[in-house]
Amino acid sequence: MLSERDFSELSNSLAAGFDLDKIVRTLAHIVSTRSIRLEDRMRLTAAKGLLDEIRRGERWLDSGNFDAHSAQDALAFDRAAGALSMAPLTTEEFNGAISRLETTIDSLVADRLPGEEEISEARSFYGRLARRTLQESHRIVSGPAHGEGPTVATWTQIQPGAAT
Amino acid sequence: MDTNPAWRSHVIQAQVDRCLAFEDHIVRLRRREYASELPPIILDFLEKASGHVRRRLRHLLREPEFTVLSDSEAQTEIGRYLDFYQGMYLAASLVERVGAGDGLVELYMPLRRILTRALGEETDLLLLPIPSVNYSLQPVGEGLRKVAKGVDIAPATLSMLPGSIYAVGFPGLQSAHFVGQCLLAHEVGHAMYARYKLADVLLPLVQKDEEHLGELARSIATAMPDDMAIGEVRIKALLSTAITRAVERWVKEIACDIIGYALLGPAFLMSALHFLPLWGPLDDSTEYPPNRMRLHLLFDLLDDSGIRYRRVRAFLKTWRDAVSFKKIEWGTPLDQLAGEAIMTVSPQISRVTLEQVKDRVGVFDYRDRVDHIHALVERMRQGIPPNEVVTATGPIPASFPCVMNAGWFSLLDDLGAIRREHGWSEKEAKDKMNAWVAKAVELREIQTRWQEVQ
Repeated sequence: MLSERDFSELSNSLAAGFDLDKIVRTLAHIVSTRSIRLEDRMRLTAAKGLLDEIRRGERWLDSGNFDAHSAQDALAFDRAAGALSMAPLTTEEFNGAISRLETTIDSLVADRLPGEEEISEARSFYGRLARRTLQESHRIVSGPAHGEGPTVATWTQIQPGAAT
Repeated sequence: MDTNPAWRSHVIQAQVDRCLAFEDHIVRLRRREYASELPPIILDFLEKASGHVRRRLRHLLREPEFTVLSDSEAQTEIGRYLDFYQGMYLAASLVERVGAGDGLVELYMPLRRILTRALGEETDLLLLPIPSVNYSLQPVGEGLRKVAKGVDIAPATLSMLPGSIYAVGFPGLQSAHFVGQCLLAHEVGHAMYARYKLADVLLPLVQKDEEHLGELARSIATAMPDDMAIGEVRIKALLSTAITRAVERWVKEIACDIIGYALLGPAFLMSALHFLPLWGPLDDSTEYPPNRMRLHLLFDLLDDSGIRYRRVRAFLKTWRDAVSFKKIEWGTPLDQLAGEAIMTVSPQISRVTLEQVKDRVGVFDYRDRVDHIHALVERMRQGIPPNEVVTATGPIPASFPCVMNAGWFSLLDDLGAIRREHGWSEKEAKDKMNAWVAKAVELREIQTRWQEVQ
């Protein structure tokens, strides 16, 4: 049953998802017309902001501290890690992929059209992120209401003495 | 590009049908009578939002941006509208439950007073029973606005909603246990935590244990079978998400406990003692910190030297001993990392939170009101609702925290005597005493409002 406790999580997930849908639409439109509108550049500024969050999330374990944004940044990093590749990635590969996306989005925001392959890569990445947020909201709507923490909370029981 | 316009048209029509069914539901809900103006306002907003989405859906197939999406991309976007509709349906069900008639109407005004004092006049709440043994607070107004912006609902429609609306849920089956509802102060704490941006000042107090986090990451990688290897990035991502989420949530829950205590004093602690241990072992943790940790921090706030009642002191001592007789047994290394990092700075978390509450709404210290509380307990002993205190200048309405504390003290100290005096069963006596407290809250509200209009 959908609980009233889930309302916040659902609205957060939906809001993030609607933003991603707009980014995907924008990239699809640019691919289709090979042109960039002023409104596209504004929407892609949000896409750039998301990449910044992913970057901060990626660096958090090595150099970050707890603050009001660390959980949001880590979530963005986790979504990106899942969206970039089905295959295991090294940190170098991950950062390389994010750098390519940053270059593509920066070009578009600056009204410069990158190659079709670069835009397609960005479109595909944001498309997968959009699907992940949809899966999240589906889980909130149809899944168990409470008590399921992130999977890693279970994994860490593999070696209960590890952090003592 | 894979596109199937016929399929898109079919799925969009199905979503439009859902919107129409939802709007019919709203019409039915609007025919009911509500005790406040807020439910009809929310219903109007939901109807307008649904109408907007329905028109938008019908227009989708003609939008150039939508037509160039792949089927997979289009499915994602259309699928989002289903969850949007589910969110709206949930919001409507909150309104529906307000009129369910499971009591606690007496608490609406005191809670609203606290919320408006803390967050401003443009704040309102839906107080509703939930089919669960739990309490909750949902920022409904903020959630609706956030989602509505996602579908580009007009600012004029957005402005229909008051500044802040919270849906505050309480366990429907426990509404007769009136004094136990002091836990709602924790839920009010959630609204204050968000509005005062306490995360900005509290989370940086917590220090990351990099050495043990690194060990944990390595141990997970080592323990993972080769055929399940997910790579260093996924492990890092999952670990970062889990630890930041745990610390964020646990600090928030603890701060809201501290706010609850700051608003209602020992009555809040006694409600927590009555409720939290129901959930099982004190050391278990889920999205909430272990109850041993929560209760331990609450006991740190209590100076019970001013409590005159023998049985109340004994009750509190029993629990204080039970909570503190051993260290927390953490369920997982991750819980331990989050929990120990928080416990290390818990005195600062308490101090900063109390300062924030004190500056904005004031802190209730029962030691300043011992005489008032004692007078109210005396009224309870005589079977009189503890709504007012007689002073040298005449009777004055008792404060809400004083009434709730007197209710708890009386219930713990005088239950046996009152049972014997009236020949009531334990349940009868508890129900009567809770009813006196509820009546007192209602009466003191009427007296306070009368004073305000004089």
